[in-house]
Amino acid sequence: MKFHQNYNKKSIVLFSLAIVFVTIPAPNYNINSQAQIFYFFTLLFFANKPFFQSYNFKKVMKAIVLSFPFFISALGCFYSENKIEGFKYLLSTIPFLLFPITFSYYQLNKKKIEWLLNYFVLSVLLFIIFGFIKAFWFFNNNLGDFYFYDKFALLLNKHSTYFSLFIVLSIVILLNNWIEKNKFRLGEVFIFIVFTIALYMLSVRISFIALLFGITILLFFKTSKRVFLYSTTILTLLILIVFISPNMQKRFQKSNFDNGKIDDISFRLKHWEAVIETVKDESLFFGIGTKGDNKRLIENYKKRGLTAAYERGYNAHNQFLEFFLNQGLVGLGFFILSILMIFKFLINDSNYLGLCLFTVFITYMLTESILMRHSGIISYTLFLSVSLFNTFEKKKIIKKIILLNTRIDYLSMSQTLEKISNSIKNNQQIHHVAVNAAKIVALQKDLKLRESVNCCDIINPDGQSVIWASRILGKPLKERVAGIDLMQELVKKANTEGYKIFLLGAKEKVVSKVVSIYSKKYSPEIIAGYRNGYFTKAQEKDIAEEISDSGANILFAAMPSPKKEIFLSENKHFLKNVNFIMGVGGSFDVISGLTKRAPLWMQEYGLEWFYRFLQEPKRMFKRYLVGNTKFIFLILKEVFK
Amino acid sequence: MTKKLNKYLNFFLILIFCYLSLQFFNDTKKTFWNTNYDWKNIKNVKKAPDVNVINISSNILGFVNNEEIFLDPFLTYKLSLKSKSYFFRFSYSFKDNLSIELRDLIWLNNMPKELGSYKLESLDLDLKKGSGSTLTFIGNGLSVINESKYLKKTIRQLKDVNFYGDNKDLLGIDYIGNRKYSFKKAFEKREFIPSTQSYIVMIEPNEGFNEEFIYFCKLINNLEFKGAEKIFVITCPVFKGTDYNTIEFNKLLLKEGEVNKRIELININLLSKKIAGFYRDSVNEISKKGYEKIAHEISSKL
Repeated sequence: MKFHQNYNKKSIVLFSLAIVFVTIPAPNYNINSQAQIFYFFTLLFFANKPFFQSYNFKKVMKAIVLSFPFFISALGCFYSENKIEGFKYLLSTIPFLLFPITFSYYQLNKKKIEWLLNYFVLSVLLFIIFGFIKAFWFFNNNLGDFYFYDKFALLLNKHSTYFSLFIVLSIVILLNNWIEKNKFRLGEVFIFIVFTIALYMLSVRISFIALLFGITILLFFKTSKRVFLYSTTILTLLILIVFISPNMQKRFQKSNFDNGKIDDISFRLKHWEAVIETVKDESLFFGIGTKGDNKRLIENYKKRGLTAAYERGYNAHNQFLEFFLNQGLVGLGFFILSILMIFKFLINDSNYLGLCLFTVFITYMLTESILMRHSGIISYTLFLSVSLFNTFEKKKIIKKIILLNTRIDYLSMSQTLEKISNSIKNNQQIHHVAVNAAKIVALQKDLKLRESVNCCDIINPDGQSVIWASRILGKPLKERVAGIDLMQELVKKANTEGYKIFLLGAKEKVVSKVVSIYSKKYSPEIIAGYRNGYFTKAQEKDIAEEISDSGANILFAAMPSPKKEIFLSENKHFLKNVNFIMGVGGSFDVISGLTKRAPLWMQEYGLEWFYRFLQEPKRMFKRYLVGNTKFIFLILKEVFK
Repeated sequence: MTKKLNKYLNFFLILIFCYLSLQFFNDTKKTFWNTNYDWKNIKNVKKAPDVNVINISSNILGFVNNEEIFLDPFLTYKLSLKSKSYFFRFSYSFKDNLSIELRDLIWLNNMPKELGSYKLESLDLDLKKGSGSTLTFIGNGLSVINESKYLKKTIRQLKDVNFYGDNKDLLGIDYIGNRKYSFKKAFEKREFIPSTQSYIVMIEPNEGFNEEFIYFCKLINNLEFKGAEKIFVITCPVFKGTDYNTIEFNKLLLKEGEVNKRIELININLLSKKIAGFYRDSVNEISKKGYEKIAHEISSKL
């Protein structure tokens, strides 16, 4: 009764989710399975709003991408010769489906996520200590030394690889806490030491590599370049020392081979070779089916004399090859696609902790089929669901970002529109410019262009490459606000708000076609006037005054760069009556139908330049291929500066 | 909200650790075999001559000593160096003058890491007897050596049972029989077979199959007379080179299994088809996995 008074429904759901987190490293995986069931039931009974209310396209996409392994496995079940085992495995992959769905619905704030992750770290610590106590009990009773390697894992009652995965995830979370809070407490240092000792005791090689990758990414995005360089260098050296230490060397004894012993790496390579040959023999495109008949695989192990592999019926020991084995090229292709998309989502959301955690999982997948066991499935789905549907990062109030000598505004499309509307209402003037990779490259040397761009009141990122660059350089911009999109939105707004627009630029035929299109689509009333872009320097002043007197609130100048920037910059004061002036490049050509705009998917993947290049290869060659190469070079230079 | 939930979550963690601690002490005998030994009641400790250990691995121990030494595979041994002691059991040994190599060896606690001079003692280290049911395994040939130990071990881990017999396998589990045992010999030595609640019989015919079958029937009758509640009879494994005698005997067993409700027949040739790796192909023997499968089958009916 008291519980009900003090805690609302949300608390119950959060509590049940916390139980799922803290039982992941528990010795008995049944406890975690029961915790998952409890969580789903609480969500079902205590959810505050109807289940599908909070969905949008992006969330659905993320949920589908994260559920790919489930769908791939379901597909493989239909043609697997071992259907019972296939469906049993499919049942174990249900978290791939349930967690993304529930997390896309059940959103958490940063504080709650921190709380959950910290409890996960605490539970990993407690289970390690539990393992230490058990090891001491055995040692004290002269029942054996259980302090190292698989023997310690036996006490943890988890496969050494998976427990090391939990430790690596915990270390990354702990380090992220330190960076975020910019301080560390004595207790956290103790936890860090315990984790490091436990990792050394388990001596799983891939764990150290994953730790190096995870921490490198975290430091790259979240610390200064100096801290990043020093820390990663020291970490790399430490890990090298660990690798050559006697304890680590002893861990990797030679594996059983029909003709004696074989070193660990050669064994693994032969093992993977056997997997690839099996798929080639069976079905390259669809594989043997989910948990399909592995007789051919065992034969291939035998052919190569891999005693341990055929006696114990090894799986592929590589998640990518595991999908290749079970679902062929189709499964592998979908899995790789899902990974790329998850990376894209995380980078787009500037979710750097999520990116680090995901990198840790991907690294583990190189030597272990982690999605074949409960521990791997649950940790992968849970951590990625939390990462993809929530943010770990602090919301910062940012106004402008300086990127390669360009001051770009931290504005979304809607915020830009709002700002423009306000300026029109208040009868103020805004000079707008949209910058793409080519323009940023050009203004590095063209100081006049740089000045004209940086003096603008609003500077939006025009190309996807600018957004990516901002993320790589650790200054993530909100979203792409392409000039043509902004123009279209403003024309729409002009119609609803009663603003007037002036169209300047392009050939007479083109600009008049644009006028005709807008007049038909909206109303002729929105057009204050138009003029082609063929005029001399001497005519500029008169044209500007003519536009100013036309009663236009908005001016779209469709001229090549840097002509339009310089024209608008130099004649801004003659255009005093126009509230919003912007250069729109070749937008009139696109609106009039003279050239086509790239499909949406190409725009989203930053391939719009390539589409334009295909349309006008001769004209665009220098601008895009040379310009984009220079742009990449500039970013790399900035990264290593 | 999270602060308020902390106390509930901490309480949950305490509960989980209490549960897991209890579970650990309950399940140690399943997971950690060496906790099955009665370490507090080590008997008949006899000092053997000191040995100079020259070879150590997880299943081999080689040493030399100045005087001839006989080591009985039915006993447990203890090597000592300073305050550390290492217990082991083995199946057979190779002798070459004063050097001995013990093979198919298991270390019961730790494996020594250093070569050199050790004190050696022989001793009786029995498995703890629980309150569970009693069981006798009667076997011959491959069923009393190599991987067969996993049959008895797995049953002991799955069920609270106590094995009885006059022999001990590598793990120290009691059984009746030896490599050259037969149904005829088993019947002739029937008075040495202890009275237990259940029996597992896994004998390959060493005599003519008809004669062996007669003794099989007699043995089953005798086991019933001893008060057997359940008698598990395991068919003989069939490999490429299995002799006619065994194949025919298996047929008789299968027929008998259909009509005789007093026995629980475990047809391993059917079981072998259910899992990959049931047999060790290269050596014509049931694998560890195969014996574990049989053990699960028997345990489910015990």
